[in-house]
Amino acid sequence: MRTAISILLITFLNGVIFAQNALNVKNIPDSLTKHADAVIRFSDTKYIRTSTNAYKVEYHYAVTILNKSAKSKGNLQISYDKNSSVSDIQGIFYDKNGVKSDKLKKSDILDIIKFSDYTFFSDQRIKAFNPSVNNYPFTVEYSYTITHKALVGFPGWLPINDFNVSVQEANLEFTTPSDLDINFKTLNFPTQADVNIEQENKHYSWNVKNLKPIEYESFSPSYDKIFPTILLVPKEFSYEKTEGTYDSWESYGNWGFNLINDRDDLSKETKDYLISLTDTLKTRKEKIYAIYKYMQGRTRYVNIHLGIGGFQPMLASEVEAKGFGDCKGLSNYTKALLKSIGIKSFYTEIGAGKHQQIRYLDFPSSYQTNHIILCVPDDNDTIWLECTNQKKPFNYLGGGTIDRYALLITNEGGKIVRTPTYTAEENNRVSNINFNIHPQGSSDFELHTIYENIMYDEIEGLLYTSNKEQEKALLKGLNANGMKINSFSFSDESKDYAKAVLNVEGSLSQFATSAGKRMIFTPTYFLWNSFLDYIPEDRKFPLYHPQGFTYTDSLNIIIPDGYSIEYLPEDLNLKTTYGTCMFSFKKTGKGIAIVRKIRINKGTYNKEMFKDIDDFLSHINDREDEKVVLISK
Amino acid sequence: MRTINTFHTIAIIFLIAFSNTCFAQKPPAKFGKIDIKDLKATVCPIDSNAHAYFIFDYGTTKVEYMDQFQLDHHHHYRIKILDSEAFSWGEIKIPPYNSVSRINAVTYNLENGEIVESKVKRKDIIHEKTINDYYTDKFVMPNVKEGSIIEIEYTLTHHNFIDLNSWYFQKTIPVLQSEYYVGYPEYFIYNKTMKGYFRVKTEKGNTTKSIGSTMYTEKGFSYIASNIPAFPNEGYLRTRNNYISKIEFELQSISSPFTMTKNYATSWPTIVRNLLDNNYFGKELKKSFHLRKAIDSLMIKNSTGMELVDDALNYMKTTIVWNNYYGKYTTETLPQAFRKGEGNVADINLNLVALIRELGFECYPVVLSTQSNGIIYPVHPSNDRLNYVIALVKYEGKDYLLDATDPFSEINLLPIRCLNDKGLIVKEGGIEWINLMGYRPYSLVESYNISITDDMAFEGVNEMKLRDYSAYLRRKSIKNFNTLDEYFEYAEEHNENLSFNNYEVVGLDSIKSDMTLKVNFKHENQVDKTGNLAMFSPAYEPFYEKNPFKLDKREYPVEFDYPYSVQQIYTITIPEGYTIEEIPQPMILRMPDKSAQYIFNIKQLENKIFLTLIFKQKRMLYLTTEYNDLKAFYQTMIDKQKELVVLKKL
Repeated sequence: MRTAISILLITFLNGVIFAQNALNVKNIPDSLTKHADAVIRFSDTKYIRTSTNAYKVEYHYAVTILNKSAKSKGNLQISYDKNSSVSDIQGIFYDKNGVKSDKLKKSDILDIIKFSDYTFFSDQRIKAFNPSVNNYPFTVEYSYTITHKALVGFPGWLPINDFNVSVQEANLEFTTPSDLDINFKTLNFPTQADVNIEQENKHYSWNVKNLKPIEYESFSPSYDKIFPTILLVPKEFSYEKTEGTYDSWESYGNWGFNLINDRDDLSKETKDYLISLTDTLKTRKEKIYAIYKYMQGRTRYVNIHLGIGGFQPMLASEVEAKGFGDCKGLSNYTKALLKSIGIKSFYTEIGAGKHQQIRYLDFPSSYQTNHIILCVPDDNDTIWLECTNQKKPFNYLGGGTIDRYALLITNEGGKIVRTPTYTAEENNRVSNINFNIHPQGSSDFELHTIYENIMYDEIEGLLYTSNKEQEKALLKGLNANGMKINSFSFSDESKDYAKAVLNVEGSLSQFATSAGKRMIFTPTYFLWNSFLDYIPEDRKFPLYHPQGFTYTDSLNIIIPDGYSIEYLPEDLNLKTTYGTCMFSFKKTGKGIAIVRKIRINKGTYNKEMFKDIDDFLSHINDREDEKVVLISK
Repeated sequence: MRTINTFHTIAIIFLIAFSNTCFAQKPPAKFGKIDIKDLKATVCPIDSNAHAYFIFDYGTTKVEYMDQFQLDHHHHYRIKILDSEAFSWGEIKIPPYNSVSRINAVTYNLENGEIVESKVKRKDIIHEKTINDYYTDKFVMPNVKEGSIIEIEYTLTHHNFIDLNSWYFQKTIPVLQSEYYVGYPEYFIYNKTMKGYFRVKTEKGNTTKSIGSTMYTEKGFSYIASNIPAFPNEGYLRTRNNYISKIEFELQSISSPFTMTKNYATSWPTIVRNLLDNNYFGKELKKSFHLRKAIDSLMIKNSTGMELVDDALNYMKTTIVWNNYYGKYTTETLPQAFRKGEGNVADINLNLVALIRELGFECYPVVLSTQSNGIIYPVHPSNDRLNYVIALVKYEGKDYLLDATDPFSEINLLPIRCLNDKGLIVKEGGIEWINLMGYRPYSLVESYNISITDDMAFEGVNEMKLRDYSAYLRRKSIKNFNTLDEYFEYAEEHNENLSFNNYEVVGLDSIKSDMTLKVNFKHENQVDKTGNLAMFSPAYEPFYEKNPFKLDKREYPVEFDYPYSVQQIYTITIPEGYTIEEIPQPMILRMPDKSAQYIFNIKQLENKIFLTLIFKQKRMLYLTTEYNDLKAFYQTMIDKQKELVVLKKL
C-alpha cells in the first residue's frame, strides 16, 4: 500500500516536472537565441466574435528573457478601457531549467491609469505586474482574456513584437459567426490561413514556427515591410451606437462622415467676424491663409482619448469656446471656419510617420491611419493644413505626412487622394561657412544655413524656443570640437514654402593642429549628415530614404600669414542612382575654398545595390575626413 | 467667457469671512483680481528666456480636527504664459487627495484692452481614481494663448497627516512670489528642512482655536520668497533634490489630550532607537535560526576574516533576489524573505547583517538616502529621508560596507545609487556617521601595442586591467549580451573598419573586482595619406573623446560618483618606408588645486612611438565657481589628444 502511494506520487511529480521542463531554456534552438534578448516560447491568441460589436480575445503565451536588455518583456501589461474588461489573469514564473519558481498573485497586480507622454486625457487603464528576477535567463507564462463590447478595428497581429525577439511558435485563431466575416492581409508572412467552416461559425487559423530575431537597422523600410504581420478587419463593425463596414474606403469613409457630420456649427458672431476678416482679401489662398492664422492664434493642441472621442472630433463651437483640441477637433474646427466664409474643405484621415500610413489600397482599414489633417481642394492649387501646431508654416505638411495616400471624409464617403511631395532639388540645406585660422590653430567661424521644404523639419523644433535653449542645442548639437558661440540667430522665413535660416558666429579651440612647421586640419561642416557612413556587410533590409534632399556647403577658409598650402584633397564627382556628390578644393588669394554638394535620391535600395552605394558613401567619407596640410614658408 | 466687472469684486471684499486670527495668513491675493499690467507683460521681469512664470504661488496646509486629524491644503497660483512653448502649463493635474472641496480655474486674456475670462466648468474636469482612496483631477485650461494668465485655486484634504506636503519655492519656470503657510495644533511637532540657494523669509506666530470646548494653540509658520529663478536641467548632477529650493516637513511627535504621546522622530538618537526597536528593522535582526544552514555551508569552506565576510555577501547575493524596491523596513520577516528568495533592500541586507553577525563579526545596518532621494542633512534629523539600508562590518579597526542587492557589488564597492555622502550606523550607544563615497575609484590600466600595416591600418593587441568601478561597469555592460561573442560583434557592427579576434576575458564571472580583457584588433583607415606624408593621432582610444562640458556657465555644482585613475600606454610601430617627421609635444595639465591631472607623455625611439596618457581626478564635486577651470581642463585634454604624428615617405 505504501509503495503504491509513493509510486503514484513519483509518477505524478514526474509528470509535473516533465511539463515544466518543456520551458527549459535548453529546448530553444541556438538559431533563435543568437542576437535575441527574448524568445517567445509559444503564443496563442484566440479571437471569438459573437456580434457586430462584441468579441473576446484569449491570450496565452510564454516568453524567456535571456538578458537584462529584455527585462521589460517579462512584465505583464494589459490595456483596457470602458468598452472592455479583463478577466482570468494568470501568471507562472520559471527558472532557466523550466522549473516553476513562483506564481502571480491577484493582489500583486496593479490597476493604474495608462499614462503616456502624449495623451493628457484618456480613459485607458492598464493592469500591470513586473516580476522581480535578476537571474537570467528566466521564463514567464501569462494568460488572460479581454472582453470587448465595441469594435472599430482589430490591432495588427505581430508574432515578433520587437527587435531582438525570436519566436518558437505562435498561433492566431479567429472564430466568427459566418454572417460576420473578416478581411485579412498577411505581410512578410510565410504561411497561409487554414479556414474551416463549422456549423454556424467560420474558423481561421495561422501558425508560425521558428522565427529568427530581427535586428534594428537604421534607414530601413517601415515596420510593415519588416515584421511578419497579419492585418484583420471586421467586414462590418459597430461602436457606441454607430455602425460601419470595411467593404471599401468609401464605405469606411461613410462611417467617418457620420461621426463628423453636423459638428461644424459656429456662432453667428464668429461667422460674421470671419467674414469681415477675409472680405477684403483678394485671392482664395489669402483667405485660407488668414483663416489658418486665426486658428493657429487662438488654439493649442491637447491630446485627448476618451471613448468615442477617440474617433469623433469635439464640436467646432466647443473648440471655439475652449481654445484647444486634438487633431480631430482642430481639423474639424478649421473646416468649420473655412465653411463660414464659403470655402469647402475635407476632414482627412492619414497615417503619420514612417511606419503607419495608408499603403494597402485593396485593404480598407482604420489601422493604417492615426492622424487627421485638412485638405482644401482646388483644381490647380490644393492646400493642405496641419492644424495641431501654432507655428507650422501655411500649406506645409512636413516629412510625417507628405507623399502618401490619405482618405478624404466626404458626404459621399471616403475618397483616396495623395498628399504632395517635394523633389530632392527642392529639399535644400545650403550652408556658407567662413573660417579664419589663427597661428595657434584656433579659428573664428561664421555659419549661415538655409533650410528649405523638408529640410525645415531638421530645425523646426528650435525655431521658437528661448535663446538659452537654442544656444544649448547648438553647443550640444553642432559637430565641432571646442566650440564657443559669440552670437547666433534662428529665423522662420516661411512664406510660400517652408524655409528657416540659422546664423552662428563663434570660435573653435582647435580647428587645425600644429605639427612642427605644418598645420593640419579636416574641414568642419558643423551639420550632421542624414545618411549612413557605410553599409555593414551583413545588412539585411533594404536602405530606405522616404525623401530625397540636397546638401550644399561652401567653405571659405583664410589661412594664417606665412603659411602656404602643401596638400589639398582631390576634387570628386560621382553620380549614382542613389545620389550624386561633388567636392571641390581650390586655392584662393588668402586661403582655400571648398565646396561640397551631396544629393540623396528618395527610394528603396535593395541588397544588389549595396556595393555601389557603399562605394559612393566611402568616397564621401574619405573626402570629408581627408586632411588639408599647410606649411610655413 | 465674460468680461470682469470690477465693481463686483469690490462688493465681494466686504463679504470675506471674518477671522479671529492674529497672525498673517490672510490670502495674499484675491482670486480673479488680475492686474492688467501682468496681462500686458511680454517678458518675465527676472528672466528674459522664460516661456512662462509664476506671478505668485500661494499655499496653506493646516492640520485640522474633523472627527480625526487631517491635512487641509489650499493652493492658489497664477501663471503668466509668454509663448506657445509654455502651453503645457495649461494642462492641470491636481495632486492625489482624499477629497477635494472646490476647484476654481480661469484663463484671462486681454482682448481690445479688456480682460476676458474663460472658466473651467465642472463638467470639463476629469475625476480619476489613482490608487486606494486617492483621486486626481485633471483639466485643460481654456483659451490659453501667448500672453494669457491662468489662475488656479483648490482646497483638498488628506487623511494622512504624517506626510505634510513639501513646498517648492523653485520650479522649472521662474517664480516671482512664493508664500507658504503651515499651521498645526500645539500637540504636533514637525521637523523642518529648508533646501536650496535662495533666501526665504520665515515668520512664526500663534492662533487660538478650539475643538469642541477644548481650546488649543495653532502654531503657524509662514515662508516667503521672491524672484526665484527657474531650476535648470543639467547633466552630472545626481539629483535636483539637493539643490532645488524647497521646505520639507517631518512629523516628530504628537502629544494631544485625545491620544497618547506618540513619537515619530525627534533626533538622530531617537531615530536610531526607533529603528532598533522597530518590528521591521531591529527586532527582525534578532532572528537568525533560519540562517543555520547558511552558516554551516559557509563554515565548511574554512575561510576566515574578510574572506568569510565576502563569502557571506556572495551567499546572500545568490540566495535572495532583489525585487527592485528600496526601503529600510523589511516587507515580511527575515526568514520569510530568505525562504521566498526575493525581497526589497531591507529584506536582503538585514538578512546579510544577521548572517555576518552569526558568523561572529561586528556588523551593523547603515541607513542612507540614495542619490535620487537627495542628501541627508545631519542638522535636520529625518527618518523619512532614509530610504535604503546596507551593512557595515568593523574588522581589525577598519570599516567595510556591503550591499547584497546587486550581483556585481563587492565589499566597499556599492551600487552607484548608494554613493551619496554619508550613512547613519544603526547601533546602540551613540550616533555615528560613515562616509559612503570614495572607497574605490574608477581604475583602468590598458596598453595598446599597435603596428601600422602597409595598407595604413592599426593592427595590434589591446590589454586592459579593469579594477573597481571600471570592472563593475564593464561587467554590467557585457552582461547585457548573451555571450562575449555578441558583445564584441556589437562593437564591430558599430564601426565599419574595426574587427576583433582572439579575445580573452579573465574574471568576468568572478566576484572580485579585477578583470582583464585582452583582444586583438584591426582598425582600417587610421592613418591619413596626404601626398608623401602620412599622419595619425597616436591617442587612438582616449578615455574622453569629447568634452562633456559644453555650456558656457554652470548653475549647479558638477558631481562625479567616484575618483578616476586611467592610464593608457601606446606603443606604435610605423610601417617600413616611412620616417617620423613630427610628433606632438609632451604635456602635463593640472587643475589649479591639483585635484585633476592629465599627462601626455610621448617619445620616439627608432621606428616606434611611445605614448603614455594618464588621467586622474580625485575630487567628486566641483563648485560652479570652478566650472570654467574644469571645462578648460577637459577641453585642453581633448585638443591635445587630437594632435598628430606626421610620417614622411622615404
